[in-house]
Amino acid sequence: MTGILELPEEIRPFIGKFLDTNAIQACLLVSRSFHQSFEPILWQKVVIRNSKVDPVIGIKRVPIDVDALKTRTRDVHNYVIHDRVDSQFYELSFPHLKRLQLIGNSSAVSSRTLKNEDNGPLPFSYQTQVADQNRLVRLNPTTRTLVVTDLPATPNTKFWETIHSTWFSPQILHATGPVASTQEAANAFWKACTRFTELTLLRLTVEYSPILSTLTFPRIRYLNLETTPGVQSRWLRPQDHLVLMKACPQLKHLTWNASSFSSTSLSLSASALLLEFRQAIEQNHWPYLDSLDFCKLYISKPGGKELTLLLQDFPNRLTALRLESCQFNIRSLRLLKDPKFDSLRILKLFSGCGVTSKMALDILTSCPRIEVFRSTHIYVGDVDPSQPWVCKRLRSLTVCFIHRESTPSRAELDLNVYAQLAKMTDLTRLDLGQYSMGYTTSDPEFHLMDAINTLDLRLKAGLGHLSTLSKLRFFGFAFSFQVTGEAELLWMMEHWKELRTLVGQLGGIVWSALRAMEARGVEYRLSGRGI
Amino acid sequence: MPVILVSSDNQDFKVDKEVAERSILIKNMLEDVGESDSPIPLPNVTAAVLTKVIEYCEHHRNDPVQVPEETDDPRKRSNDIEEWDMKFMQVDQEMLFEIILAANYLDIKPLLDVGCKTVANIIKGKTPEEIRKAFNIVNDFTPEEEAQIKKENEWAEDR
Repeated sequence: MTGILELPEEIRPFIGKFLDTNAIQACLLVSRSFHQSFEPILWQKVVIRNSKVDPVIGIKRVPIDVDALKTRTRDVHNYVIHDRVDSQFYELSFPHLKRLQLIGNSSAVSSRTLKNEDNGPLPFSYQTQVADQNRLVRLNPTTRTLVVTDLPATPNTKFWETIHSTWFSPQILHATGPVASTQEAANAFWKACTRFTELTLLRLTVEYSPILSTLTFPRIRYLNLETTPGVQSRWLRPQDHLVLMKACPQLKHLTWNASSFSSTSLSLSASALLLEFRQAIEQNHWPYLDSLDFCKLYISKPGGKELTLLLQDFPNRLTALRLESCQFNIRSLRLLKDPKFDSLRILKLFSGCGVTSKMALDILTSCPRIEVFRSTHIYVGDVDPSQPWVCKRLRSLTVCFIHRESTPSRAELDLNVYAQLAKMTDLTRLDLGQYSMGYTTSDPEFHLMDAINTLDLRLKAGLGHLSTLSKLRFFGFAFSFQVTGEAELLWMMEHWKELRTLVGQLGGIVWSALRAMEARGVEYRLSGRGI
Repeated sequence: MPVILVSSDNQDFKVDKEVAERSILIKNMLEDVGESDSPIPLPNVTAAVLTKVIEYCEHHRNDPVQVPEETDDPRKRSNDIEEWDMKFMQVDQEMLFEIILAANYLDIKPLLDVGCKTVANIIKGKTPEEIRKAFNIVNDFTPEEEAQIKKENEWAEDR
């Protein structure tokens, strides 16, 4: 007779992996055997904070007893430690630690770095903290992911040297804010970076390092950089971002938030940098690069040719492109229809790119291999039945269909959209929600009154045509203005058997439909009168 | 190209090689043995359970092979079980656990995941007493022990 207690030790963590904290806490009270099996799972993630009340949410937190923690070090996989906690929490070695996160108080950071005070002796607590941090990284060389966030006690040379020379197989480094306040520490920081495969560096404050330009980062495949204007001392200079990029020969994915370039005071050096970047692309400096994510890649103001030229010069097979606040104009669109970009599978266009409704439709009607597409809006009136959508492999579509305020016969036009959507039978994710629109007054087609005329999602308007989307798992219709209700929900349960997440709003309470969804295990975030 | 699997109670099951190889254990055995017709004994799996396992593998024969994930999915979803799999898992508890044991032994990760998610879904949202009822477990704690455990584990935050 096999019951749950007969399952061997090794299987219980597989179950525990799918349980939330409340469920595990309940399991601990079931029986001695359950307690023994599931207690290690509770200790997989440990968060140490410096006060009893979470300042942001106001939730009372129960502090962790360090002696209890000492008996459970073998179970900890993810250790998150805030600053200004007792040193004892830094003296622990976790033999199976995978992720380590050190979080500081950001307001303390900005006052210290901007006042440039670090030349003098550090206040006592910071000195202890620096020593504590060093001890923690020395004791935990199994760490794969290190997250360092706005630390008021900036890591010193020893911190980074320890990581560089003793950590077994680091993979991901995610650093925000100050990482090194002396040249020696900065050198050690960059050397440590050469051991990682993924780097995310946001608003980095690091002393100038002369060795950066001599280093290569052979393991880095993923890079996420947020440049800051180099005007404040120690903020990583834009040109150093480029030096770093060029030192990553195995780079596969680049996320670059170049928001500093938009500041006019930098426009001259920014031009030179973008040109250098483009030349590197043209010369195939990154032979494995196939995924790009740009935000604000323009100089002074949007409308430039930077993106078009970049795409033109791109030598590889581009698989994924994500853009925000970068001018994506007709010329860029024309380029994407070129056979060179047959490899493009993922295209996500967020706000501020100047993408018009016709341009978005052009992609759906001309790019057969796109699998994930996101844009801000499409006017229902622009959908032409004589120009069918060709992207038969589309599995995820995020776009808001709206009517121009002046449009008369909306019902007929809505059916055109339904006819096209119904053919996209590989869709697993369909999000027609308003929030995804995100277009602003700077977008050429923005017109406030259009935003309230969304596609009618009621059954009587044609929702039933979408019964062909049998693989659908996610359906979003947030802020749509035609009220969907019980009939629609029950229809969705009936026809979309794989649906597991629903986001939108309803007219009134529909208890029976909600119960049906719960029985199916559908996660829903619905709002409406009475809910 | 059929393969013969033999359950612990000596029943033969003829299965396509492609279907049998959804089990990494069997796949490795076949690679070692080469072009042999000899049946593969599975001493840890009864005929009833093997029938279910083969049914699962048949239905999923064309699924892409899953890449083993190094990092845990932080969202820990258990509500994403496919419709067919949900119906497949509507069995009594004993069979459910036998399927999990078999999936573990035969190294069929997707089936192991579905089984564990199913068990997780039984546990979620229940009080300790409700969990005991669901699995027919006797409470062997004293009230003092229960109180102590509650206190000891209050600290845990959302995972």
